[in-house]
Amino acid sequence: MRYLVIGNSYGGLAAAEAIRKRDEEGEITVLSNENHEAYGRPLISYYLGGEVSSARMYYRPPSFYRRYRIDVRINSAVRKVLAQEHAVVLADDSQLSYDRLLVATGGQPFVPPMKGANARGVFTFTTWKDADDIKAWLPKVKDVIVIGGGLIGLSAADALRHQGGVRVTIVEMLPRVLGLALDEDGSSILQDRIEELGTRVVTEDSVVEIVADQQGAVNRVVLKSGAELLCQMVVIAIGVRPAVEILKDSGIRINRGVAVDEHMQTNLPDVYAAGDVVEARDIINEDNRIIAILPVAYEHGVIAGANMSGDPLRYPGGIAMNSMPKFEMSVMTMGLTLDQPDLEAVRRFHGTNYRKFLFRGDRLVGVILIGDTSAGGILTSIIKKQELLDRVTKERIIAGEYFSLAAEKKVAWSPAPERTQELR
Amino acid sequence: MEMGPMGSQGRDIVVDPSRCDGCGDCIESCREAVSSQHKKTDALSRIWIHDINDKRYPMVCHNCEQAPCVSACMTGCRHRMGEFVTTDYERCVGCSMCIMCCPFGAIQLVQEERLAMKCDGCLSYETAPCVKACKTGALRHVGFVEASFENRKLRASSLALARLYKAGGDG
Repeated sequence: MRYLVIGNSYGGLAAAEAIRKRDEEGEITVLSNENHEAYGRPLISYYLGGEVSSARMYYRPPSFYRRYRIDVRINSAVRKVLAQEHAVVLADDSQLSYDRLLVATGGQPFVPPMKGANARGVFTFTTWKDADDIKAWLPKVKDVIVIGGGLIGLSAADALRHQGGVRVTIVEMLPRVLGLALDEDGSSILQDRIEELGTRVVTEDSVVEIVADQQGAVNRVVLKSGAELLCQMVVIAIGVRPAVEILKDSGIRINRGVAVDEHMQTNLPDVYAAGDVVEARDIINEDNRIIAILPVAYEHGVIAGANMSGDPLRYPGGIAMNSMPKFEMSVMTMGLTLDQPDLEAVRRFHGTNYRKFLFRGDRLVGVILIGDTSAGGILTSIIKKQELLDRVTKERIIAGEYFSLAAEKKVAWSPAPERTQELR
Repeated sequence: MEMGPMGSQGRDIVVDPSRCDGCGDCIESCREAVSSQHKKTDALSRIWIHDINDKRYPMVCHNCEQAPCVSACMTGCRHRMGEFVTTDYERCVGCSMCIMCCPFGAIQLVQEERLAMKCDGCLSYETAPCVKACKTGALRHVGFVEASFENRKLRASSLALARLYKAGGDG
């Protein structure tokens, strides 16, 4: 059996590990369009901020690929998938055939059509190479504009503010930072902190043009409001989109992301998909959608890999969540976080600590924790289980007595899909 | 490919809350044992005792069979070693993804160190210091084969914590 995995990050590697666990003999090839072996992708902000050296970036020990007998090919971008022929075309026009294919291509940064976006000094921020490019350009930089106040934008801004003498301005189109994950109360606590630490935040505005100097290097941005901000670097962090270009005309069904069933199988029998490129089950919304986060990608990968090697595990579904310890403040969001007419919202403030719980009837469907995020996983597990909660349990959740819920067996233990493997 | 059921480390820490009198000796011995890993703060214990309705519940990593903290780890620093789930603190950055995913609240963010710390089993000791310190038998070592038997026994008993104190799995 020849297994081909496109993508060398969390989804792809979890699949490769799950395959090798079940199939000692099969050939596993993993293709990466990047120039490094697997690394901790979110670590790029720690790397840029100088907290993590390149040696500490790697996700797996140096012996990993050899021990799992994975033929990893870095710098091997796929141009096209020829699903009918069970083959992929690489950038150099060579072809590689497979028996089973996993599409784990992840997301790619979205850059809207914007005048001047090709100026030198304009970057995106999703890869190690992006971080290196930004580092190389930094000596020229006093002012940075970060376009986008979401997770990636804030990570970039937090890393850049640690560079001596660099002033960072975040430009966010929504009325608040982390607007998709945090409600108004949460955002304003975070934004106060960001500004306290010297980073400027401009909301309800957007960059309409990047203006370069005569050498073609970025010189300033023009905002929709008419304001112009001088800068020597722009980081575009508006969001990521599923990387599905290579699947065009392959016959693989794509909605926003690749459509899969509960076995992470696409509409084609020998093609599976995992990670940020996939629309898979969302427990709370009870539909299939993109949840572009690490734990979900990893679990997709395990399920896909198991199924590819003949073990019909089902994906139980995941929930959106994120943890962002940036700007010296811990922020966690799990499940739904914004008010909706059908949800009961309960807020608790203690100094700069903020907790918000969202209930749909007697079920917990979402949590925001700012400041004290300890034991957040107990709440994650309660959300994932979607059990009916009695009045006492609900009160304890709101009171922050999570441990007592754990102790009295009220914690719903939602297992990862299979036994965690030992790394060899 | 897989480790045998005993793993490379043929022991686990099993908790029997009904025997805990809350003396806290385990906490003190834990602090001492992990102190070298704390560079910027006083050592923090990785075992806690919760007082709930006049009962004591010692709380420590369960080394989950299906460990969500490993799936969620962005650096790869959290990994399985034998039957234990351990951490390479040289690589942890304190991102807290594991804390967000641990159903037992057994991982603690140490802000100053930028580390998410948990019980890693004290594998360099023949007997883990917390177990050695426990006079009541609330903490015991058992082999892993035995551990699963112990856990079944605990579950079978009417103890409220039965489900919580097995070494993992969805039981």
